[in-house]
Amino acid sequence: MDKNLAASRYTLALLQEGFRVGLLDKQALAGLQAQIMLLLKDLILRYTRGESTSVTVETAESIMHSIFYSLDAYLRSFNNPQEGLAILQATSVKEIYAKGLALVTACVAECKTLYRQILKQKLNVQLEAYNTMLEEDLPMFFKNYGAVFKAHDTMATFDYPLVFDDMSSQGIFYIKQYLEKLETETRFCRLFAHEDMERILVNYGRICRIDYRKWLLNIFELLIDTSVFAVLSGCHAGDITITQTQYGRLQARLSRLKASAIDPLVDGAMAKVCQDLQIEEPKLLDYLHQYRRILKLKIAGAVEKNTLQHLIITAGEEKIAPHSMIFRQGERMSDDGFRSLIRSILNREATADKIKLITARVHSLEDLLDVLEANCLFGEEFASLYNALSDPELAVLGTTIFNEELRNGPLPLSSLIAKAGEAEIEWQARYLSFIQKLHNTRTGAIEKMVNTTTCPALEG
Amino acid sequence: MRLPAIFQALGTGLQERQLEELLQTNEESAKYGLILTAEAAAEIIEGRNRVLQSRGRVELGLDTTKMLIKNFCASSFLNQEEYVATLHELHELFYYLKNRTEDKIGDAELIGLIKDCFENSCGGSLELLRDTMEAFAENFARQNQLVEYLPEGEGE
Repeated sequence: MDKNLAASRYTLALLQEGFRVGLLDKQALAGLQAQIMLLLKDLILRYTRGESTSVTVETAESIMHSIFYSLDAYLRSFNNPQEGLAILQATSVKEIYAKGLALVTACVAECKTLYRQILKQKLNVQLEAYNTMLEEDLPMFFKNYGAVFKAHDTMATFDYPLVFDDMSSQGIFYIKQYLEKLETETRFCRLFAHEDMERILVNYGRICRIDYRKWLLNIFELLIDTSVFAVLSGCHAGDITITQTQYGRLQARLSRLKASAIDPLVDGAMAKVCQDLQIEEPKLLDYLHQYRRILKLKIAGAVEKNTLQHLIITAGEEKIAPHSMIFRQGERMSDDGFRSLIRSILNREATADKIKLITARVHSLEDLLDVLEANCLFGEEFASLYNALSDPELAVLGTTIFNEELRNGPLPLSSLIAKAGEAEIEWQARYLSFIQKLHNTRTGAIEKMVNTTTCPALEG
Repeated sequence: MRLPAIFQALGTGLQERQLEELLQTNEESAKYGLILTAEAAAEIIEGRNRVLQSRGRVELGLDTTKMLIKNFCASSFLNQEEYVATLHELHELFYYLKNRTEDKIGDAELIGLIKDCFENSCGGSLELLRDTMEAFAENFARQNQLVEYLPEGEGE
């Protein structure tokens, strides 16, 4: 019975399984159904403040979700499904719902306290997604969340990515795990000086030629990676400035490693990080322990594809060939400027002239995306534009297309490209078809960048 | 969230209870010569379920049906021959208006409006009632839209 119970829709699964294995008969099930329906009827009336007995299907479904969210909260608090089923048989649905609702409400209070604690520890960085999440998204969530009618509704998507984010949960329980992990990550980040943290971000932006402030970066990840590389360079884990000389040695050392040697190397370095930074708190140790697997995969991938330069953030001159116009830091075009550019592109007949105009005048990703969607390029002109972009720029475009897929971890570009037929937006379909035709070596380099670059938070 | 098939298969008892509930309205309507047979009551419930489904609405009791009967059975424009068909039309109109007015008018008030219109300006004509209420719904929607686009602060 236990193995057939899904994590979500727990009560429904419990009823179905109970019926399947004979612990509940038809009559008992019908009784529970009637009680749930009565509860729904009551809540619909409360929802309409007694003014209406009917609601739209969407509203009814949402209230029903909310009811089951609270029922699940209570029934899942028991040690095993059999115990939950016994409670369902012995207690009225209304009572179970009330107890579940109390758990949900208590969780809201707990989350508010946790949020206030995190806010006090807020990192002083200029990452827009991080600041927006703390200063706007979370307050908005607490303002709009309703435990009775919308308990299951997460209401907001937080652009700031965590290393481990359980997207399978919903509502306040999603927020709770998000805040707990954010708090753990923040505690680690605060072991570093503000200046070091800011320098890492700036260097990352310089290496990837992006405006890091607008990027969906995880600060914890950048810091732990760099700290591990610092240890591997023979430095203290807190000394996260990696020079070009250190990078050269690291690259030589890592490139010679056999795949099987990466695991013990990372394990050792991670232990040294914990020792150097005097990390003893079990929750943070456990988080770092879990993260080791990800770092090992990242290093193995970078060694294999020879793209360590994208993983190790150095303080000196970056090793990526200098290139291009588009993703350097810069102001967005004004509306008038943008309209004038589109008119000029449409007035040019030769593709080369159009590309020249774009590369000369577009200096931000947002503007490039607007141009791609402005119906001013036709057919093969897209490929000509992509041809004028550098690999990092093509990778960044890729991350905007595959943002959702990449949230779940690195993916081979081939599997993403296989979705070319599904792309409904022309520039995306043509992008995928362009990438497909590139030489394997180049595709490999772009793939690595797509998997190590996070999607920027785009403005309007 | 759709209730699983395991639940839906068990809903037959509910239908019987609803039928009984509806037949109880005969006590009041009989005073005005209006009676629902068991067959007609079943037809009304079935028709009401169809309307709810086509209008994308959910109602877990017969409150609206009973309120419509209670409000309209005393009308001098209703007769036994057209009773069931009129109730069908009224259900259709009611749930349509609930959607068009975005649930901003309560059940009792809306039924009161329909009844008033039916009795007075429409003289018992269902066709005229439909047209009049359609115009009302359009006007209501337009007014709502206007409020939404008012400069900040003015709509409050």
